Amino acid sequence: MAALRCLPGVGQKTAQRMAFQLLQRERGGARQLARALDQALDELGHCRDCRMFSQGDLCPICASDKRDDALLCVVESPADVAALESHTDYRGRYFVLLGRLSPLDGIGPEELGLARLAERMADAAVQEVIVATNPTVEGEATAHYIAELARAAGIAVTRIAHGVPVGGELEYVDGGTLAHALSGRRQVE
Amino acid sequence: MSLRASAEPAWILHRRPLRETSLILDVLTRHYGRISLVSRGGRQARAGGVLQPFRPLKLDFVQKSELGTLSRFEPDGSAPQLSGTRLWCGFYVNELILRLAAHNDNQASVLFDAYLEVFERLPEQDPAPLLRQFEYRLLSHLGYALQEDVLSQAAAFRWDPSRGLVAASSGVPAAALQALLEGASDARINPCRSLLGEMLRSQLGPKPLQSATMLRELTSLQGARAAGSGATG
Ligand SMILES: [Zn+2]
Repeated sequence: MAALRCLPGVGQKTAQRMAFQLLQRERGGARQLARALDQALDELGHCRDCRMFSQGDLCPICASDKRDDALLCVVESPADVAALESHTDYRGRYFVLLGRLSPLDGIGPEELGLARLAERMADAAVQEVIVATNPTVEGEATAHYIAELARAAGIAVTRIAHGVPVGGELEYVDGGTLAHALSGRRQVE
Repeated sequence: MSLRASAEPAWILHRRPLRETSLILDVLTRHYGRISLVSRGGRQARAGGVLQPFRPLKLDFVQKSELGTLSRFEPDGSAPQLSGTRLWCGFYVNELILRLAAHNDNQASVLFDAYLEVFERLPEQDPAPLLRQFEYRLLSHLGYALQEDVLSQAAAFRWDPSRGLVAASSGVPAAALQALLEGASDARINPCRSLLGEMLRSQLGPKPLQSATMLRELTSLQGARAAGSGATG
């Protein structure tokens, strides 16, 4: 039960209900769940190019030859990739920070793999970096740093902003707003 | 310790998540200095947008132990529009306070005023001298004010951890120090940068400020055209 409580939204009561359900009525399902989690933990690494969770060296998006190499969209979390993929017609590439710069929490460029991002920017095919970090103060500060990296590499930078409420997180923004935010992206000054 | 504050002027220095929907907030208040508060439900949409750093707030809270409880909050005027390097300067100011200022300090209104002044002027003004003046006001508040009476005795000074200002021909010009002590926050006090940096280091110890490191990296990325060049101590 203690193990189940590490899941978001699962308190003591829910954990108890889940544990009883799995152990009493769904023993087959429980074994399947255990195997699936074990397998995911063993096999799931991070994509070499974008840091997204991936079973192989490259995730399906990076491995695909149907994506536009000219566009590189930088997001904070894998959930943001999922949101952009399902709600917008964006077909460029991604880079997933797995966090945001947060000096007061000791999270710097190294923790976010920004050296790898700089390498991606150095690729001649990349023409525009779209910074889609969340509109929190840390997200904005991160966007500024990435914009400076892009400018140092001589690449145009845009920031999605329009319609995403301040303090909000991309993952929770509704699809229409997100599509609008992406198409209405602006040049970063 | 039992404290009940209402409509207390405050700014959030740092927020970190607590469980699913709550936050632990480090705030700077006018009357009590630094306070740590739990905000239940603080990560939820409406609260999450207001309970952010770099905006003036009014808070109601109860504090019975080191960690108090936030009971009500509202914006107190509009937030300064900070972008780019200036946002990083804001983190620098917050990090300085988090590293150096005391909890529950009832003399904190001096520090609070210094904080207000930085954020009032940061959107428009050259950040470097604003940060220098803030550094000095923080150090004075901590009990490390410089001796004004020695400034007439030499043309330039360096700072010594045990003796304070010491005459040194290659040091900071007396006029720059005079302006700093008078509360100036313009280009005249820029020469005080390394001296203030040393005073801060003697307080901070060997662990550098993360935001200062980031500001230096940004400056080097921006190269010579940097608007925020020399922003940190
Ligand atoms: Zn990938």
